[in-house]
Amino acid sequence: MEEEIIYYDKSEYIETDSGNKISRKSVISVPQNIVLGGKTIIQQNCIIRGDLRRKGSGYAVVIGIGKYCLLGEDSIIRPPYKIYKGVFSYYPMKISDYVHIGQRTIVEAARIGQYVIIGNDCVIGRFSVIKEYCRILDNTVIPPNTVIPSFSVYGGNPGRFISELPESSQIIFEQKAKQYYDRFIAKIEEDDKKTSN
Amino acid sequence: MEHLNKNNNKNNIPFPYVYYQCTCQVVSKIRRDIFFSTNQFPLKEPVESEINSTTISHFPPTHFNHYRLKSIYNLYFCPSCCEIHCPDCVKNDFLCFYCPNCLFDVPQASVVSEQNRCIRNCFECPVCFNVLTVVSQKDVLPTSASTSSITDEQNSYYLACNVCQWKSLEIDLSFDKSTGLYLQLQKKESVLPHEVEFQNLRNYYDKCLRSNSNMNSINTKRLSALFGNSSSLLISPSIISHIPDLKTKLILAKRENNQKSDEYNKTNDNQDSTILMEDELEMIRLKNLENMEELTSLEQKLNQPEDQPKFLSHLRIHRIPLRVKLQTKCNKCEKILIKQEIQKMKKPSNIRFAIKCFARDYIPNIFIQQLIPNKPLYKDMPVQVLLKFVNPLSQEIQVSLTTLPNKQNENENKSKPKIDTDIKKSAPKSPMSPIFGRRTSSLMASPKARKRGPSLKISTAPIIPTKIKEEQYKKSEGVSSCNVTVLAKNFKIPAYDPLKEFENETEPTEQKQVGIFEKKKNSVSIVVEVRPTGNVNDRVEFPILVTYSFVNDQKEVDNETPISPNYAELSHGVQKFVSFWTVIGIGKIVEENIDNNKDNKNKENKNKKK
Ligand SMILES: [Zn+2]
Ligand SMILES: [Zn+2]
Ligand SMILES: [Zn+2]
Ligand SMILES: [Zn+2]
Repeated sequence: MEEEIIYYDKSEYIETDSGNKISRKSVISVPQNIVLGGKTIIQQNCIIRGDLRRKGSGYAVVIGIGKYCLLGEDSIIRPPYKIYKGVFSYYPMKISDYVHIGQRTIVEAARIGQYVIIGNDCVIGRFSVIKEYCRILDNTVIPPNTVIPSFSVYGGNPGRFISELPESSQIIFEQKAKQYYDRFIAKIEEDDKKTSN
Repeated sequence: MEHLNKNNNKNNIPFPYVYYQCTCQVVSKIRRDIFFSTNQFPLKEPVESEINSTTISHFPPTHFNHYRLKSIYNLYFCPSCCEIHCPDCVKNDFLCFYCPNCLFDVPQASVVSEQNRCIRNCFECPVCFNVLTVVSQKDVLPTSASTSSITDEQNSYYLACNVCQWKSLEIDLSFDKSTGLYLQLQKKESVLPHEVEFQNLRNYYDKCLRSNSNMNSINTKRLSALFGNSSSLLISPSIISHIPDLKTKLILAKRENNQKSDEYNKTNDNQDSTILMEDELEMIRLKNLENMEELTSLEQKLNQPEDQPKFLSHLRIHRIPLRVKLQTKCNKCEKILIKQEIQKMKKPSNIRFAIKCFARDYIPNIFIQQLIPNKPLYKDMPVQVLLKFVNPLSQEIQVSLTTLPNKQNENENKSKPKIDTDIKKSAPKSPMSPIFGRRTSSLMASPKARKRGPSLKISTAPIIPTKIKEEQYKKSEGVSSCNVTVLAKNFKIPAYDPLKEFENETEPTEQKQVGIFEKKKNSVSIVVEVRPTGNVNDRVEFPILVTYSFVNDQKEVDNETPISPNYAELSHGVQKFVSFWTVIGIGKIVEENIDNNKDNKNKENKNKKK
């Protein structure tokens, strides 16, 4: 059955040419450093720290986000940092296609592969790498530098391997991500209707 | 009423759903039937040829095994057997071993020699079991004059846990280089008592093996006499004779034992005394313990089974255990159903499937498109369910649907369920028209049928079960809570054409068949009318038998293309039938006059209080 449609306030969201839907209530620092793949939804109060980058001038890709992604309400996307050879520095982050990030989740990963679903209230530690087809349950804390192999379910604090996902996860996750985008529809205000009539 | 509630508890699949019954359910039901008719153990396996669309039609899913139903995404389809398989009825094989942390593929040969653990720089924290990271001493020290004085040669590395802040320095472990840690660690580990003991034993038996080479000719009778009632009692001589390697080893072990037993026991004696001393020291330490935090937890002890240390300071770091990738095979014909592509000695990070036989690429995909009206379900208020059938095959398929007979009248039904014995007796010959021959109902049938006595020929005549079975089924029977009417029982679904996927919908000009809501590309939506007849809170769910058939019209069977389903056994122009049962659940019956669930729940609670 077709799932319920999620209506959003049309005035709150900006829709880009490539179909990205970005809430005006989100905080996107230095958007020039952020690349969005298209058809990605960024919900309200989401914070994306494009300003945290390696020292240097001009723009660079600090955060790359693929297509059909969802950054849930109040989530924080922050590039990872470390001290290497005595120098403190931020490193870029890559989020691939079909990645859903839950509400109030903090992501400081180095890389998130395709078809990953991260639950609500999670912390994805610095430089962690999540491979393709993974699921992070709600309230999980992934320690820094963790590598999560494909087809894994992780949960708990600290996040541990819980179970394996079936091979068909790709299809399910892809459908889920696409359907969510299709269900995310602008609610046309009644006033608008009246004026157009 | 009691059993009804039980069934409801068991079956709590959230609504709405379309679930499928795997073929193995039919197999197990046939086995059970054979048992009930013969009362013989071991359970007889049904003959392979007996599993066809006709037999499947006899075994609708009952409420007893709803929890065994699967979503289409969890099912496989074997193209050579033309059968649905689920995770419970496939075989799994090791495909490759890999480290979950560095993701490197480990060759099978070194998996055994390296104790199933990663041989690179992957270690787990002995305290909290998370991954340890290499830290350079130089980076940690505050940037002061002392840091700059440390040259790279003087620098040392240690392992630290990001979670519990444990450092390998706590067990006096540091490394000179940041790479090849396992090799550096191996030297330190090789002097540990259990490692020494293992090496001693290994050397000892190696020596035994080497010193004997002409013992192979010994005959098994003498061998059994030799072993008589001493060691290896459990190994029968005939087995020994079949394993030449084992035979020599046993002989050698026996002989060497007699000759050199003193030599080896001596070292054991020494070790025993040291262990005793250590035990005493440990007791003293435990008695004087001031801080409980020095002690290990049970989990930590079990993670180090060789010595199960009592103190945190005795924990050692362990390499990360390997994980395995499996491949999935048909349990009947051994055809590989799922196999990932593996590039040897490379990071198996990019997942691609070399072979994938998911059921969704072979059998009609069924979705609940819509409920009309989309409102809560009331008793006796018919709703229309739009079921969408999607054909994933590149051939046109003919679909035929069968439902269980509806209750004519509720009172009549309660006393005597409606049975269609005549149809049952004349077992359907063409799977295209799977006449409803539900054996479950036939159990309550006329005494005539029962008198015919047990029969094992499943494919021709259904077994007549004993009374035990009858009672079982009666219980499951009572739960049917709706009448189902399908108008379009036979329809065709056009082939799936990937080229047309992005084309616009073209409304077909052909006239509409009764009961068909719409046709789109490779899908057909039909109308199913459902009238809930049960009580408030009953689940409205009903089984449908789906039989689909297609003609293999591919002139050349191309074995090389894994994309298009390839029915290898089918020659050109042969029609093939495949059947499976689905269960469609649309919701629970709610009490009338109440429009939303909240009110309903409140009411429920009130009722309970009363
Ligand atoms: Zn199965
Ligand atoms: Zn490793
Ligand atoms: Zn730890
Ligand atoms: Zn097979």
